[in-house]
Amino acid sequence: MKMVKNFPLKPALNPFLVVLGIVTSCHQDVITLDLDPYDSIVIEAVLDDQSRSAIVNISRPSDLDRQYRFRPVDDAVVILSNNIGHSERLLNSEPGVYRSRFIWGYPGITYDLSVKVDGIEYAASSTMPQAIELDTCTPIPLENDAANYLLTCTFTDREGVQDFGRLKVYHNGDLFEDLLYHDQFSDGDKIVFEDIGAFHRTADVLVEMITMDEATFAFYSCLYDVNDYVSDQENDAFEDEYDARLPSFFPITLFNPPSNFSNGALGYFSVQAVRYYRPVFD
Amino acid sequence: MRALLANRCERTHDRRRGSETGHGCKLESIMNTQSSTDPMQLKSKRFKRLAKNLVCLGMIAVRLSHAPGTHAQDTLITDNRGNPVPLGLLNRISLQMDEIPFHEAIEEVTAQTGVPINYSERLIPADQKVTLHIEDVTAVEALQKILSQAQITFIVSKGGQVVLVKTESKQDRVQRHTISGHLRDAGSGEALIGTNIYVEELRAGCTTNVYGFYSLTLPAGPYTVRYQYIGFEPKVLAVSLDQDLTRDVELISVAIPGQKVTVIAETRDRNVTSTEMGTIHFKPAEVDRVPLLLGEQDILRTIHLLPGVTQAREADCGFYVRGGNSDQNLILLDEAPVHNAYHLMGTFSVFNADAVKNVNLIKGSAPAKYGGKCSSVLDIQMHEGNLKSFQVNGGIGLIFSRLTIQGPFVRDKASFMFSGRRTYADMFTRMSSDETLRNSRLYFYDLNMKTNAILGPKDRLYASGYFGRDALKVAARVDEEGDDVIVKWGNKTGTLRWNHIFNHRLFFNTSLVYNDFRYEMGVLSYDTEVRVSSSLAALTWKGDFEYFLNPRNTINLGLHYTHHNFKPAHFNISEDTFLELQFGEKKAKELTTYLSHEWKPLPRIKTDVGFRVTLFSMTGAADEFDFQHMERVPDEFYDLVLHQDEKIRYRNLEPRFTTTIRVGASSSFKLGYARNYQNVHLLSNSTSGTPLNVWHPSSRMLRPQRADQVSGGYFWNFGGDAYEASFELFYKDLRNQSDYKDGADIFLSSFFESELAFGKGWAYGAEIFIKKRTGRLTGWIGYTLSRSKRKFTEINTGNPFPAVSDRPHDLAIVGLYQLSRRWTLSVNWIYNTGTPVTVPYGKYRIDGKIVHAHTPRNAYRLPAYHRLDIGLSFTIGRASALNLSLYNAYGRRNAYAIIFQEHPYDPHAVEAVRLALFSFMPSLSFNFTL
Repeated sequence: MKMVKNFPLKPALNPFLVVLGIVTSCHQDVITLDLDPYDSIVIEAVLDDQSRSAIVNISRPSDLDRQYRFRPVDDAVVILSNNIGHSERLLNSEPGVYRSRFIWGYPGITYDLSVKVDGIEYAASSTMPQAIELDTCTPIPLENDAANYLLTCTFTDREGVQDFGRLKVYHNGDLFEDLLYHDQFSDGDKIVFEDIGAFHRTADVLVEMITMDEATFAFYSCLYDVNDYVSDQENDAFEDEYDARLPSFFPITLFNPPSNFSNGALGYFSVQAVRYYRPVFD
Repeated sequence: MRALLANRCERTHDRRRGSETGHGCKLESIMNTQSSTDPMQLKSKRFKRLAKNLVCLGMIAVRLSHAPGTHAQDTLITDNRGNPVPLGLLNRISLQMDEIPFHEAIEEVTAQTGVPINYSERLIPADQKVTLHIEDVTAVEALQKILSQAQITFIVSKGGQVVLVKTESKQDRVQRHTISGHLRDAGSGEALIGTNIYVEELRAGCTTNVYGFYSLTLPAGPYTVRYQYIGFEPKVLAVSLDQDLTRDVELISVAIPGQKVTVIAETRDRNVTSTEMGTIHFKPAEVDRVPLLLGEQDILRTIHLLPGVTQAREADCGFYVRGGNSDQNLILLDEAPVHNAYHLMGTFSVFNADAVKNVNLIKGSAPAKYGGKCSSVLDIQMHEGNLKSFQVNGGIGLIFSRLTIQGPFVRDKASFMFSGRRTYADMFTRMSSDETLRNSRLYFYDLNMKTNAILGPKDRLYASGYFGRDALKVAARVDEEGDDVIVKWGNKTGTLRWNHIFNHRLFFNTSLVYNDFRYEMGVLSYDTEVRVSSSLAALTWKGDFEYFLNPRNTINLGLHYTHHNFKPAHFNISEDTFLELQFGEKKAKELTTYLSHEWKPLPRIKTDVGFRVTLFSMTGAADEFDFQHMERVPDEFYDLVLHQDEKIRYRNLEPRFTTTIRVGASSSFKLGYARNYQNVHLLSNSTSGTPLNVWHPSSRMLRPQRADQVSGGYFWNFGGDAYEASFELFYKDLRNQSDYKDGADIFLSSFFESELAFGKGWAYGAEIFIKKRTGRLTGWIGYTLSRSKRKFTEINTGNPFPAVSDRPHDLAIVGLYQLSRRWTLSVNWIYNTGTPVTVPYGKYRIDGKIVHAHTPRNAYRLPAYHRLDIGLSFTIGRASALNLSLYNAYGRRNAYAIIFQEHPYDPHAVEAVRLALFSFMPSLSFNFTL
């Protein structure tokens, strides 16, 4: 997955005007924006064909001017159903987390999720695709370096089927690589994820191949494009003030990744087929 | 008087009315109801015969009033204009003439009636002899019998004078002649555009076209033709239109040194009488006292002060018209399209006001000859060059200086105009002790040139050009590792025009127009050079006919052909080897024809109906999209080519209609509809400032934008034309609009369309404009109440959202007060609703990461924008002036941008910082004319 290099919170500034303004009568002050009218529900709901249980996280965004604080929603009514007649109200197992017990994920089945909070219903639907199976997950030894190897994964795209995939590679339990795949221009072809990374022979390397529907793919795709994660102790988003004022020649409009929930809820509901692989040495 | 009384009719008649028209004549006569043997009836017959004769001669109307019991003094004969014939002509006279000279016969009538008869000797053939034997007939009848032998008749002036004029024969009656010519400024010889030409006798007229040409086709006859234009002395010509005439007229300016005649000058009543809607004309020279940023007059900043036009943002020349996008404005400089009309990232426009003669902004229904953009037309004409004398003018300001030289090559035959300006901040930075600053650059310059030659009475040649360049270089710090960053951009235009007058009614102009906009961005280090450039160029041929059928009908017909060349990204890397890549090059052809008919079916109704047809095709082998440069496509698919040799064609039909209904002496209702297509698209979500935008032709996915606008309004001049007011309503429907998908990245992308979302938009509103045109206090108030929305399936979850141009309230008050002969005070006050923006309002965790939650698209508004500008101007000598201006006088901190940044004491918190650029900005400039 190629990352988009931009800084969405920087508006397009005119360097001439900024310089002119600074030397003349430019003024900067911290202002308070009236953001109270804006609030929403965040729902992250995933059901896969491996864990056999749907997990639904429901929360509200925390304030912009404070450290991120999880604001769980525990009084929601969450109902999961499918198109073969099953329905289940999910239980609030821990703050903001709801789990299913009886409805499992199967390929080809369409699932509906309804979340009611404060009288408003947020609904989404997702269909589990058939899993993409990797053909190979091959470690390729490095020349003159017997201790390390390069990882290459391949699979054959299914002709006539729209495939949306995500390849996640974990190294010693941490996410090492995260790639999205869409066969818009490669239907039926052999796909090679080449030289994903160099790993030590003794490292714990896990490859997770996720197959999802189009809406989930669109969400993940835009989530990558947002690229303003404030994780890692929330210190990556903003560089120093000087950098934030540099002109941006390619301003990108700020946006929320497109949700498949109704009524403006943030997040997504995805029913995914997941396969795990570990590199096999000869 | 006694003699007259003796010759009165003494019989009574029934009074009836009949009428008969014959080339402008009207007859009101008495019809006798009594028997034919009655002497009274005989008298009546005589009057009828007399009247009939007069009608046949076609120039006199007779009204007889002879009620029973009344006397002959009640009998009244008038000419066709209602002027009574002198009673002396009712005397009964006898004439016995044999082959006597014509003038002696006239003198005999005068002698017998005592009524002087005026005539021009040229009117009477020298060898004309008169033979006439009549007894006891009225002098009118006798006079007509004499005159009829020479095809002459008489009219009566308002003062009661009898004047002989040539009779219209049957052949004359259908004979029409044309008076045509050019109108020019007597001081400079430059064409006067939109000047009123008015024929007093017919109460009809026309206006000059953009080349100062006019043509009026009228029935043969004597006419009084008045030429008038605000700021110039009217000129009246008495013409005898018995053949086609050419009359080139020069008007003399009445401008008093140091005084401006009006704020925005127009031909008197043009706003009321013409079919133009949402149209404003002005000359830069007439608004140069309006206080503006840094004291520099700028055409686009002046436009911001008009209703229906919205400033993109603080200190930015970009503008939106009636809820449209910034790329939907057709900006023409001497017919050449200018795609990025901004210097210094939008701080100044590329139009040097000294070089500009005339500006037309069309917000509503544009005439059919204009097309290619959806929202507005900004048609700018450069000075042609003074044909009379040499003239030098210029200005010295804080940011740049200007110099314009113009004069004749051959007096009254050929002239030139050369104008240039340049910023000089970089000249000072070169003297800096800081090496980084010394090596950095930020400047612009531009040159305007124009020359014209009068090749003959029917031919005129114009050549004009514009060349402008901006450069920004940020040098690396010498003590750190780094690269120099350079950005350069600029426009080039060239226009070659030939005016030809085929005949008095048919005007033809053909143009060859070249326009080119390109930018280049580079990163330079000691061993590597990476340059990215982009260009948009077009070559256009135009042929435009203007046929002045008569004062009630004018027909415009034209054919245009344009060849476009788009090079969105050209990539050069010089390292050990040289690598050159071209992304997404495209070519397109555009063939347009239009026809419009300006028609005045009734004296108070005028319409302009037309259409425009465009064939647009994107063609050529350049339509290959190589996916090696696309994101989200694995590298092994770089051989895949999409849309190879794609050829897509669009046929666009654009109907146009406007009508004006006069409802009083100086007011009218207008209604208009126009459809516009746009085939050249700007793929950018920035405002005007960034030159690094991608322009793209219509393609299979990027369909032509379409705008349908309906507008109507009431236009009113009052206070003896000192005031002009208008109230307009509009609704604009926009289709095939494009915007970036959320998260789109088009930089160095070949397949731009894949990053776009497509949808629709709409805008509606009301505009009020009140202007005071004359007097010591001049100025205007413009207010717009409007909304502009967009709707895209893939943006904002398909919900409508405010367009960036959406400003519900937009108010501008401009006032100029002539304190004395030399001092002028000017004041602007501007208010508009804040810009709609998208801002983050919170944070949330998703997929293991914390991201910002944003408001829906453009759901938040920046604080309202308002400021007061004050200017004081002192005129030195005849036309030089010292201008002191104060921009944002009360120091309003208008948000140029809201920046979200890390809190200085809390790395987890984000704070919103308002950047206000010009809280209080004094400036001084000096303009001179030699």
